[in-house]
Order: sequence, then structure tokens, then C-alpha cells
Amino acid sequence: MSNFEYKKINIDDDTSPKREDSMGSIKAYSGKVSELLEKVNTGNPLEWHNRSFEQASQCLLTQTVNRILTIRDSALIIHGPVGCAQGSYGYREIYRNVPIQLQRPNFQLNILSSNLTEQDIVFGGEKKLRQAIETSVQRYNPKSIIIATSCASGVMGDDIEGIVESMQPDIEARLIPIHCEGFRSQISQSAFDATAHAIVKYLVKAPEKKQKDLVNIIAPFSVTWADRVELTRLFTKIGLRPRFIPDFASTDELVEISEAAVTAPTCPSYGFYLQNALYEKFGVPFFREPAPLGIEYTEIWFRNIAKYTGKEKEVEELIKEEKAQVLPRLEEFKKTFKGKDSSIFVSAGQARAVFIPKFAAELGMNVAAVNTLELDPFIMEELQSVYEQIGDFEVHASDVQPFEQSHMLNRMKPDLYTGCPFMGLYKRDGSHVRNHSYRSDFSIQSNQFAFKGLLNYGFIIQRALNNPSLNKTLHEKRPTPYKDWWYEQDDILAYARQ
Amino acid sequence: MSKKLTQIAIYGKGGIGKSTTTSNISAALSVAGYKVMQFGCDPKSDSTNTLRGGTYIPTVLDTLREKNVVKPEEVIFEGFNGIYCVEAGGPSPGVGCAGRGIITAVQLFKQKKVFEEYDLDYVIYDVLGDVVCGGFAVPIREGIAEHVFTVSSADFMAIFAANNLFKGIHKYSNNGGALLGGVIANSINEPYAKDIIDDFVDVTKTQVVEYVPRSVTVTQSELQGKTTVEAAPDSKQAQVYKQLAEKIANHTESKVPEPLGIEELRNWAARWGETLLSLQSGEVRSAAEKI
Repeated sequence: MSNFEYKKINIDDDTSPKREDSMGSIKAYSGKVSELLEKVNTGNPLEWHNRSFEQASQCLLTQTVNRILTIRDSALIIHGPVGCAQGSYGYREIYRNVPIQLQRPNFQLNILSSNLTEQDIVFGGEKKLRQAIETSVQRYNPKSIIIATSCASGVMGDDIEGIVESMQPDIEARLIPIHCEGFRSQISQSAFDATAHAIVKYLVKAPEKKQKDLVNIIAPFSVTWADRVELTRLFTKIGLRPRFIPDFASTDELVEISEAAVTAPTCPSYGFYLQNALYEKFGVPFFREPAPLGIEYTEIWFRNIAKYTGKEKEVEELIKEEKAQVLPRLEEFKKTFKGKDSSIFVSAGQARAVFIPKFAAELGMNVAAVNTLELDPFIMEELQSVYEQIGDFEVHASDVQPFEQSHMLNRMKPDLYTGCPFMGLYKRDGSHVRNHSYRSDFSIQSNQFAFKGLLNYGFIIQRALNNPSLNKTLHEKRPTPYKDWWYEQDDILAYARQ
Repeated sequence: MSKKLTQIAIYGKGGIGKSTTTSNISAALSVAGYKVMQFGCDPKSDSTNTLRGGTYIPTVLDTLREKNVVKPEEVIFEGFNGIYCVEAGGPSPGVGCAGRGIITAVQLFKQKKVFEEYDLDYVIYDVLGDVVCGGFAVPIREGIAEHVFTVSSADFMAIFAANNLFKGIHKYSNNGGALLGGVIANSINEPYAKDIIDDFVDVTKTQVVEYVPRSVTVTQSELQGKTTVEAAPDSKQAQVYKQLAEKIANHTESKVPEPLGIEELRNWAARWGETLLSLQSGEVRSAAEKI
């Protein structure tokens, strides 16, 4: 398979290496999946391309903050100029929407900015950071204080670890510094690794005992509230306790994730480092794939969990029960599915980028192309198996570049475009559906994980295919956002060079 | 005020005699009747010491740290012969960003139009050695200094620093940045030292403004907390500084230097190393010390 060589984590380091270095991830690619796999299978690394023009991009700090701020009983300090903290409190409104009846924990978001000013940049941000830590203790009495660094603190080289070390003995709350300086990496997913590194290094304690019924589930942005509710229901049935990490976990819950029986994946991109770190430091076993998307993957996923928890019997029972409920409805659904021989364009994170094509093919749809945010070498094996099952399709990697996707949509004219909620909007004459929702969505359709999730996903695909009129009308009536010149370019990576 | 303000930046490797030279130029210009301000851009903040009897003055940044708003008169101090002395200051060693400190201090003066208000003929910036980052290049960037001089000995490390400065000047030369007036050759006593400097200015297309010999008078003056121009105005060394100041006062046209590339510089230095070895093969050690 690929020549991706895994490098062990050095948890004593201040932070994780960036993905360009640790894995050789790339953020720009365009070509057939067969070509990509052939290159990789013959021992070539993924080729790095820089875009000379980027329509949008993501920042390591925001990638960190918008996830980590949901850790309960914590205070988050954004150590930078006040603008780096902009928007953080917007998440409060979003999370308050989740009804208490759906097990939303009652908690507050506690966010501070160390508010670095000109003087602080000249003289160093140490004083302000110490103040912010003291203030957060006085105001919120948190159990953990997460410090997210910014470009400003990075450029002047504030000694964050030194400050943490000197203050920790006098502070009960665990101090957790995360190195998410925006400029540090071109792959903003490097922030996931930095977050995981800090949590495992500074917060998680060595296991006192093993909790055989505790299962860590990697839960990033794309695991919706409805997903949590459904997965919790299934785990309860088999006598296991799911612990979604790190989002929405309480500080105390995170402290003991080293005692879990296994760390189960949902998103390889988010969970890769956290799984490795928990395994290498505390021996918590894990499996990398698959995500519980679709019947087959969900079965494998639960059987994997059974191996580590001794719940083989219960899991087989669960699979039987759930399939008995879902399969007849799935067969019904397939009969009424009107999208046969339609084509689909999938724009998603890496877990869905391998699952949706598989599912779509099962429904009789052709896969035109798959776009992922980034391409990590560890996903190649899964791409290979999808390729073997459904044949060739185009793969495109773009970290939020709507213009490139628009180019592809214009060329391929798929009947259905299914995309991430944060990948931009495109002018298209076919249908459109959001292929998954995000964390605080508690509507039933937003559940796509596990058995029932497949039905939910099938229904929204069908609904979108049945009713393309909005997009058709918009396509006819609205001017295109790009000039013809762009659509005439042969190479979608015209702006990306090695 | 209709008279024209000339702003000059003097760079050079740390310890090369940059502050000594700058202070003596300031003193000599002042004695010649000009109104001068010396602006120290080094976190060590000791540029103007010899103009003020060896004493330190509160820096712009220290004052800014305490008060948030700084009035010019709080950080401008009069020294020898009415020379205005300012120290930009900076963070403690090992923290913060000294470069940003220079930017903050210089911008403060620019925004408050301090130079116009004080009716100055010359502002001389004494800037820490190597142009290590954007902040230390501020005096040569648009709208600040017009002419840059660099103090260098025949020491190769000093020449490397000068070459780096030339690169900085080259970079900003198209955007209205300062141009190079020339090299002030310091501690030039041995003939070969003069040859080295002469060769360097030749290959980088610039000139030597003055050769300043090493002199015990300078040390004696500094021990009294004074410039040579103040402490020993009639000495030979003071004459050299006065002559240098006069040349700077009469200097009108600066140029874009042609810095050497890394390889070129290495080869150039290697050639001189060989020359010196063969020249003084009997005294390899002392020659090596000097270079």
C-alpha cells in the first residue's frame, strides 16, 4: 500500500508537528482516483501544490477554538489580540438551541481574550496571559483552563509552557496550552493534532483502573446532536457507555478517557492523532476505520468495539435487531428511489468521502467526483477499497476553494451535489443537499451515523433529487459568479503549482 | 521653519563602535552649529550615554509601558551642547519583540511630528547591528531616514553585517527607502585593514566616508562619560570626527549598494583570508585575532 510511514508521537514536545511534516498531507489535488492510487501504490508521496490564488482558507486558531470551547467546566483563553477571539461567543446561541430534553448538558461557554495590545507585542504577552489565567479562575472557577495561542504570541515567542509550569502549582484547574498559531501550517487540520496533543499531555491522567464498558468516540464538528442521541441509544442497549471526545465532554470526563476500553473513530481526519496519543501514552486501543456510516460499515464498527469490550453477543443481537428494523425500510426506499443512473458529486471530509460514493453506488447512482478538504496518506487504503468496489471517479482536494468546485460542477453537471456545510455555495443546475449537518443540529434527519442514519441520508438525497427546481431556477436567472475564462481552463489546478 | 531636516541612520555590528561614532558625529554637528537629535534604536538603550555624562535616560517604550500615552517632552532629554537625546528602548532580553518596539517608538515620533516641532537640522538614528527583522529596518524604510551609513571594521563579521544592511537597503530602494551614503571605516590602524575595507566598498559599489583610527583618547573620553569631541576637542581623534561630520553634512547623494550573495561573500572572505595568511605567515595568530 502507500509508503506512508507513521512517526510515533513525542508527547513531551510542546506540541504536535504540522501535517505537512508528520504525514505529508496535501491540500490541492485533482485527478482520477485510479491515477492517485497508482502513484501512491508505487511508492510516491502525495505531491504538494501551492495555490497562487486562494479564494478562502482556514486558520488553525479557529479550527481549534470552535471545537474546544465546548469542553465543559473549562475556561478558554485566546491568547492574542482581541480580534482573534471574534465570533467565539456566537457558538453559545447555537448550542442553546439544543433542547434540554435531548440531554444537552447545562453549561456556559467561558471565553476570554488576553487582549494583546501594541505594548504587549513589544514587551511580551506574559503579563496579560497570567492576568487572563487569574481572571478566569476568579470569574468562572473552571476545572480546566485552555490556552489557545495566536500568531501574535507565536511571532514574539511567548514562553507559554514556562508560564503554565510556573502557575500550575498554585492553580487547581488544569492548564492546557494549545499551539494553534495560525501561520504554523497550511493544512489547518494540523490544529486537530495540536489540540489532541495538549489534551493528552496536560489533562488526561494515567488510568487508575480500566473501565471495560467505557468507549471513547471521536466526536468532532460533524457529529451532530442527533448522531449522539442515536449512538447513545445503541450503546445503552448493549450495556456500554459512549464518551464523545473531546467536544461537549466535561473536564472530569476527559481526565479519565485513558481508562476506556477502546477509542472508536468517526472522522479519521480529526481523530487520527487523538487515537494515537491515547494509545501510545496510556495504551488505550483503537481502530482506525471504518466510520459507522452505512449498514456494512456500522456492523464492522460495532464488531470492532465488541472485540475490545467483550460484548460480541450483545453486538450481534443489536445488529440483528437494528437491521430487522432498518433493512425492510431500506428495501422499500430503494424501490422508490428515483435517482437511479443520476450522478453525484460529493464534497466532504474524508470519512464521508469514502462512504458516500459507496452508498450512492449501492443506490444505483454514478459517482462523478469526490472532493475532500485535504488528503492524508492514511486515507488511501480506504479510497482503494472504494475504487475496487465502484470503479473510477475524480478526486479533488481543496481546502475551501469554491471556484474550483464550481469549475468541476460546470464541467460534470452532476444531478446531485452533496457538500459539507462549510464548503461554500456554488451555482449549479442540478440538485443540492448538505451531506451532513454539524454538532448542535438535533433534527432527526441530521443523524447519519449507524443504521438509521443511512435511511435519513437516503431520504434527504431522494428529496433533493425529486426537487431540483430551486437550483434550476437560480441557475437560469442568476449570473455566474466567475468569468467564462475560468470555466474554459482545462486545468482546475491552474492556480496550484508544485 | 523653512530649513530642511535631514535624517540619517547609522548601522553596524554590535560592539563595532557604532554608538561611539554616532555620538561623536552628533557632537561634532552640534558644535558646527546644527540642531541635532540622536535617536538610539537598540534595546540596550545606551546610545546617548556619552552625550549625557554617562547617564541613562528613560526610554520611549519604558514610558509607554507605564503610561499608554507618551508626550515627546517626557522622552526627549538634552545632552551635550543642546543635543536632543532619545532612546527607543525595548523589552527585556528574551521576551517580546524588539523589532516591533522600534516600529512603535519611531512611529510615535513621526505621528506626533516631533522632528518638525523641535526645529531640527539632523536626526541621527543609531540602530542595532544587523537588520535581523522588519522592525530594525524601519529607519531605512519609506519616509524616515534619507541616508544610511554603516560603521564597519575590517573584521569579517562586521563586514557580513554591513553586507546584510546593504541587502536591506537594496530591498527598500525601489519604494522610497533610504540609500547608502557609505561606510565609516572604524578601528583602521593596520594597512591591510584599510585594504580590506577598500576592496569591500569597491565590490559592493559604495565608498568609504572616513577612516577612523582606533585611539586611546576615545576610551579616555568615554570613561568620563563623554564623547571625544566634548572631552578632547583639540585632539587628533576629535579632528577626525569633525571631518567625518562635515563630510556627512555636505553629503547629498546616496546610492543603492550592490550587496554580495552568500557564496560571493564567502569566496571574497576566503580570498582575503589567504592573502592575510601569506602576508603575515610568521604571525598567524595575531593576524587571525585582528581579522
